[in-house]
Amino acid sequence: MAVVTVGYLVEWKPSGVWVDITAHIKSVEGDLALSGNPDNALSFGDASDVRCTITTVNLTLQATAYLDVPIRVTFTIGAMTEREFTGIITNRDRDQETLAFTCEGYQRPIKRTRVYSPAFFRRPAATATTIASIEDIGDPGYQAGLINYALWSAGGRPAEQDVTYPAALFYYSVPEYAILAPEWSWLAGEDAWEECLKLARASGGQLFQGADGIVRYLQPLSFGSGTAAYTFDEDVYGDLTERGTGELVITKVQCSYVPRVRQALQEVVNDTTPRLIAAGATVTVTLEAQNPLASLLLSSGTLPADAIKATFLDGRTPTAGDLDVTVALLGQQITLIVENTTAYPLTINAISIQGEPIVAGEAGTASAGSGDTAQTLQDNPYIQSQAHAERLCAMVLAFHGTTLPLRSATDCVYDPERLVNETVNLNCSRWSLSSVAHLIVAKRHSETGIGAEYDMVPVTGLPKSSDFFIISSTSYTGQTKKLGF
Amino acid sequence: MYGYETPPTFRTNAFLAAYDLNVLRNNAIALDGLANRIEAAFDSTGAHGDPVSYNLHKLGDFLLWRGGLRYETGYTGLVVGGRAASFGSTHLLVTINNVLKANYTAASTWGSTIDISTGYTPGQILDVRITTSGNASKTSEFVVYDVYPTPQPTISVAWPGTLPTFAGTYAAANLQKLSQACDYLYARIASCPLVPHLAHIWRNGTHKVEDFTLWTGTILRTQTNEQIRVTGNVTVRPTTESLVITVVGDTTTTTTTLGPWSAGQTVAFDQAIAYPSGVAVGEYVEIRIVAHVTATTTPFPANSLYNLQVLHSEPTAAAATAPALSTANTSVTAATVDSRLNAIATLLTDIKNRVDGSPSFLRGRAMRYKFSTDDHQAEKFARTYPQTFIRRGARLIVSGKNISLGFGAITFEKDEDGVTDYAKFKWATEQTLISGETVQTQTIYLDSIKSLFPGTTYYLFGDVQYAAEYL
Repeated sequence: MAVVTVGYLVEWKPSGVWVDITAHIKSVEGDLALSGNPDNALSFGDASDVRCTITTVNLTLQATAYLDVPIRVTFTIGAMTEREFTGIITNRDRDQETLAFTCEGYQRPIKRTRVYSPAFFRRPAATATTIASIEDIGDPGYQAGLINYALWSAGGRPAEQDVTYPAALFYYSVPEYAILAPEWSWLAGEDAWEECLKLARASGGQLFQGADGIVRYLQPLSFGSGTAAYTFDEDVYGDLTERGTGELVITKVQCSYVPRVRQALQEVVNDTTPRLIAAGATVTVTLEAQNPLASLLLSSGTLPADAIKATFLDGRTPTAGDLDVTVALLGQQITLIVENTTAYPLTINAISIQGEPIVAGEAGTASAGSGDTAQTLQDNPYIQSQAHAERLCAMVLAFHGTTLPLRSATDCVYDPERLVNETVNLNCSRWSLSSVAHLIVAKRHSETGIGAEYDMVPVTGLPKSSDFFIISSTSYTGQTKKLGF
Repeated sequence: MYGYETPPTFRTNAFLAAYDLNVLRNNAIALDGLANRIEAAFDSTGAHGDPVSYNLHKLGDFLLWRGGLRYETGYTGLVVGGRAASFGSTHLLVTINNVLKANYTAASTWGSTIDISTGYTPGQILDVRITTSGNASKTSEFVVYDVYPTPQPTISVAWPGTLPTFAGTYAAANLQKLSQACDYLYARIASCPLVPHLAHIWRNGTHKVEDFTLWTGTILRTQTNEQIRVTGNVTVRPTTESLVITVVGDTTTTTTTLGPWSAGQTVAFDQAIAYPSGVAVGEYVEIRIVAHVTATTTPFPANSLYNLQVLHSEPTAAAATAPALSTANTSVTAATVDSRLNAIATLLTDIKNRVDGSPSFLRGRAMRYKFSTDDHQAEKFARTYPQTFIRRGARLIVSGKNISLGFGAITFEKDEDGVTDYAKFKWATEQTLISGETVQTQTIYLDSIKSLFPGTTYYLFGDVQYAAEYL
């Protein structure tokens, strides 16, 4: 009988390089779920929830600062080696003999990122990342989505370009474009992770961090697109249970929307705060408009001459060239860098800026389907037109119009090669299931590498990417496919 | 603009969405309608006493025409022209903002292009007036045919060139050409504002046995499949009266007679009139609307009361046939997708050809000021001769003072004896746009006016010095 060896490798990176700390580790426990809502496995937008608790055998590591230190766990079972967790340490408990590190995924640093962005018009919420896609938000040719913008701002870099950015805090990947695009999308200093979730919900996608640490945006048509390379046979699991989700079968989906309209040029900021600028000095003035702005009224790249009312302390009025103003617009935030180029101090008495605001209109409601079993989608500021709301409703109905039971395979031997978001086949003779395609939506392991449980959802019959016409140079002559949502 | 939305941006490796195809399709339908533009008639003169008709006015000099236009970057000339007869040695003086810019010797055909390349700023409202000088007859004839700036406004979007033919492949660049075509056509059509004409709201006709000219103006033929429409009402008071509409072409004249009617009749008329033969696209027809009274009541003869609410040209061709709508997540053959995309491309190309051939989209003409001799008459006729729009656009730019917008049913006041005063009335909905005695220019977003739906006829009254609707 062959002997199967089981082992794990725990590494952390407190100062720039990965350090093996396996010798100090007693146990690793955690789980990984595709969806944060166990009752709604294919729910759009819900975050993945990746956590892990690592307990040490001694107090050796207590001297090292632990907060936000990257940490990763790799399991080896027999010949299979697979990274099972990548994240950061968020907390540490200790007693007289051991340390217990609480570890989370990269949601934490993203959540703490407060970023302002320009307002994008009809830009897909997430755009596909490739080896050549422009992801640097400072690049003049930037055309990526707002989720891409937020993840880059939080320190992420595209996984497809990891060679270019080897020291990234984390990597993100968008295999396919988000299906839907808000009319207007922007970031105004909120919790970047929550905003990404709102965008994902509004575009019918999911945010998901894999065990490899890559934060991925998945559009729903990818769920059923995988090809099964592994079968959960009856000798793989000890028990198979199913939780019916009949209550989630819906015949109608409703969604509200609040239109956002770009209005004509008008005064958007009128600031009367007095500001003293010493001779030759530069001040940075940050102003916030009431609404996001599509554009500002500029003259030769700077504010018009009458936008800033200023006087020298002796009462004289500055002339052209006395003030050098650099303007930057990010959504609602206008940043002015004002330099007094003269040898005399002056006071800015008022700043009046004109721009084109993007203003909310009267809310409306859209729906798809009919009948009494209705689901109402959560209000979302990124659903800004009836058409968008209708498309989203149609997409949700396509996924939730049939039963999607959650099946749990328990008492399994831990298999590091089984990944969340992997397509597998499931056999169960008692349920008359034979090679039925399922998507692994969650897995839980405990007692370090001994046992595991896998939650999975059948995806046969769900719309998938290959069913649809794709904009490309592919010839579809003679073929029958579907048009997208 | 209602019915049109920003076309989609197509990206390689994105899904070909039913929604995006439907946006292109619906935009093509909307653009097809917009390209068949209803053009308001150009108002030359009203009736004698209100203040002048084309062939009956006071002895001596008078203000023949007054109007406003909005100066835009790139304008170099103002085209002014018309015809005259029995003019003697009259001159026609053209002023812009009270500065003399042209002095024409009256002739059977008079006019030119006045240089306006300098001296004006974009957005400035120009006050254009045409005044006679040396007129020595009460019955000399003067008709202003048109006042408009040139050249055509420039737009920033380019036509993408020959539109592709789809055959099973849906490359982003080819699909994007359809979006760009929509962008171009919309920008091209939107660059020329929709200018109103003057309605006549229960204005007086005549009580005498005579031919009483109510209105004279012109219509420019903008496409082959087009006709003229005159719509209104009359409350007849003379014993026998007809309404005669004369359309004068270059070589042929047609006459349409409505009636005869008799005293006490209240008549609504809605008359479509074909262009006289020989009138080509780009040529003007002169239109005269005359109250023809052959017998009047005695004693106590009284004037008829007329509404003239529609004076415009309108297309007669049927709307183009649009491809079927696409449905998401439903199987469809590539051949069907090809046919829908190609039908959209064909429709957009046809629209482009129509826009290129129509003078409607070559200029934003001037707006005629209401008929009046002086401020007193202007105030008296504030509601009688309102600027009239059929709402098609989203924005209204209006300049002047004490301006209100009204639409809906009309309610008349009665005097102390309970007699209806036809000069004092209100529309069901009225909203002040500009108040006070200072001339202002305002942009009004028409969606903000409740129940002013696209297709609604609405009126501007007050001291309206310029008004135009933009998509």
